[in-house]
Amino acid sequence: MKPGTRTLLAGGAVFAAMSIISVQTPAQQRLAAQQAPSGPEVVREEVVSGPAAAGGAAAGAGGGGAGAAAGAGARKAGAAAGAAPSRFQCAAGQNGGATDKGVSATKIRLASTHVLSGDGSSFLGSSHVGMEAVVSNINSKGGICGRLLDLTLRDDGWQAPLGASFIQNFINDPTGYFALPVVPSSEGLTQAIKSRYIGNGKVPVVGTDGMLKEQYQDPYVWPVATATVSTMRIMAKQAYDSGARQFGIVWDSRYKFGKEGAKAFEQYVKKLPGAHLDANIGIPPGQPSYPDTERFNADCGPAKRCEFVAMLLEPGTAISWINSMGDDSAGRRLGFGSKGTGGAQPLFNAKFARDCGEPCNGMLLWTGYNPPIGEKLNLPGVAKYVNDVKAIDPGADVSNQFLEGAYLGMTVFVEALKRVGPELTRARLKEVMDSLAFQSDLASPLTYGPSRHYANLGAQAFTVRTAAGSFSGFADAGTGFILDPSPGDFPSGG
Amino acid sequence: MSSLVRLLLLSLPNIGAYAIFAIGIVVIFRASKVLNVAHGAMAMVPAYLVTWMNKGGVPIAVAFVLGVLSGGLLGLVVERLFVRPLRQVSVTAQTVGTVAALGLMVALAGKVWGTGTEKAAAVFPDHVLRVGSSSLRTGQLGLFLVMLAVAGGLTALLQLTDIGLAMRGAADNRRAASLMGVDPDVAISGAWVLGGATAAVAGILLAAITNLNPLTLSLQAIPAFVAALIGGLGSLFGAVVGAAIVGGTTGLVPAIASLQQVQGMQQLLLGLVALAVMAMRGERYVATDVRNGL
Repeated sequence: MKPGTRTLLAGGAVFAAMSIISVQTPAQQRLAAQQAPSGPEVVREEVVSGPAAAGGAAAGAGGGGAGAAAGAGARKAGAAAGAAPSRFQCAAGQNGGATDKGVSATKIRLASTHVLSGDGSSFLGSSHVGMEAVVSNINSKGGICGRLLDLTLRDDGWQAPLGASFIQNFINDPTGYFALPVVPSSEGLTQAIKSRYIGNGKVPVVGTDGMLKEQYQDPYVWPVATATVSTMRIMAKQAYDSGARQFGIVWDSRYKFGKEGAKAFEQYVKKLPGAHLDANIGIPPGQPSYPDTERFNADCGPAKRCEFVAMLLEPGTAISWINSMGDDSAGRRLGFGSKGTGGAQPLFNAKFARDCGEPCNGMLLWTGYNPPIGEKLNLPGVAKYVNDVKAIDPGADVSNQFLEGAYLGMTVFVEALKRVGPELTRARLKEVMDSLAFQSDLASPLTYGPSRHYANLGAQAFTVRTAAGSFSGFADAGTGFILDPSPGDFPSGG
Repeated sequence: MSSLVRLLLLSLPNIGAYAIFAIGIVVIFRASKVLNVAHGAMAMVPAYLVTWMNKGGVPIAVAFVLGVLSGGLLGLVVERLFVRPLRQVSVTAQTVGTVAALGLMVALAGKVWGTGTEKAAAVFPDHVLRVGSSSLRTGQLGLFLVMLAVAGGLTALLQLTDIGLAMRGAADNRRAASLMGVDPDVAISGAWVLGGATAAVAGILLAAITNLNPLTLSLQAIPAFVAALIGGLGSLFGAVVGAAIVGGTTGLVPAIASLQQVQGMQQLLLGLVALAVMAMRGERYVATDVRNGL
């Protein structure tokens, strides 16, 4: 073999190896097996309930136009809200066929990046199950207006450049993808937004739960999650209202959610009369040890323990950080607030609570959704979420709030598709999304407008409970949804 | 205990992890002149094997030994499949070969064990030592102590034995080594086996105190490349000193009040230190090259 050929072979091996990284999970394999019998050709005449189903009817009848946009609380109320009259019917064979890129008579091609590997996989790793649960549900009923949803997922390891590159490839794909639903991998999506791949491609990105500020400012992105900056302000507000005045925060210095969340927290605490931020520590994830604990404890430790501490970390780093802390004279773990400790949504999952154990007893974890905990589990929409997800992956942690967010995001996307009806175009989807009012049991009502994409403005807290030193479950802290005290304020920096 | 001492003590796990990786990188570089980009992946695979064996009921001591042996074997396989076939092309091509090995191992580990994060098998019994208001666990201290033992053992092996002499000779001048009866290919393979075993020790001990994840654990070796570069890539002692600089710099920044609130200061300082040390070492390389030329 010639030396040059060997070099080429070695280079080829790199790309081959990288392509293998895109792993099909057991849940995906099960989903493929479930979907196989129906196949892309299976279509039914009337496939969805609610407005879109009317879809056909709605679309055929002209829907009512933008003025018929569903009002707040009018769940599934407005027929084809925001959509213009259609020449087609919401039925197989009459849906207009290839009405836009990635759309055919029998299929809507969708793509998304997600996180199966790397630091983010510990809390984002099951998001695809939430998306697949909704897709499976819709496809089992024949799709939307005779079109099945065909979802392509790529694992970007929560790496911004790789994620942005995948998204760019999706947009430039010659066969075409219609839209990007949910996109759990926030780092890559943010990079893609900044690089104007989304804006220039005019590709709708619907139902994101990545929480970074760029997603709330881009005209082609409609998030369902409460922004990280909102959650951090809400956390601080609740602690302040509970009497805390000395604040501390430890945050992830590598990833964007940590930087911008910490900035919002710092700015808000500084505005609160009598409150001060005593410790403000950014740490990189995955280190063998954290000498920074000494610096944190010097400002917020045994001598003058902070009353409230916010943890804006991914789960593995949070556990290492907590394990690097000493105990005070009463045997209580340092690094926690004397009046409370708050964890952002990345920590809201059972694995983190189990790994942490006793030190996390009483810690408040915050979410913008209604998790299947306590009485919330009795809400029909929440129970359906649990059932749908368990049907795809019986072992899934349904308390993981990024999984629930992905399910909600995909549900909103599907609802929007239904409202657009048979004449499916990106422009019509944007029109519908910009006037969508969506209410479900999974979150507070989501109301979007052309210049208002921060639809979810509230967050609520749940308490980590332990028994005999081990995690015993979550309990509703009874805060209810607290609204962001500065909605739409996305501080620069961070 | 002064703040400086406390921070140094708390930095020992970082120093230990970076040093043990850097030692393996240097052992391989000295013998083959190849910067082994796959070093982190060669640490990750044995870490998974040990956890897998331990979950299957194999005692951790036995699993650890088997894991280290598997690391040696992995080093040999990488050298034979990804490096040696490219030797006639260039050193750069061989380095590209290790990039291929990295990608393949990460991908295969993801296929076999999944791409999520898992808890690895603990090697040392878990006890907590109080350092100021912080904690050090026995696993973290164990990593540092094992690093010292590995550094001492490898230094003795390479400096005091015929095996070490053969490896150094094969690296310096293949033809002269052959004339002296040393098979340079065997000597180089031996260095890769040693490097692989060292990587395995690092991976198993590091995973035990952090987490198991194919990608994340494989990338843990990156700071060690900085340490090895600072140490000159040719000296085990230099690798340990480089690791002490890398780990110490990041650990001691919190002690400097004026730098505490400056975001990214640890990374910036580390970069500046590395640049300064390499600039100074660069002059020495020029002098060495001149002597070699003469």
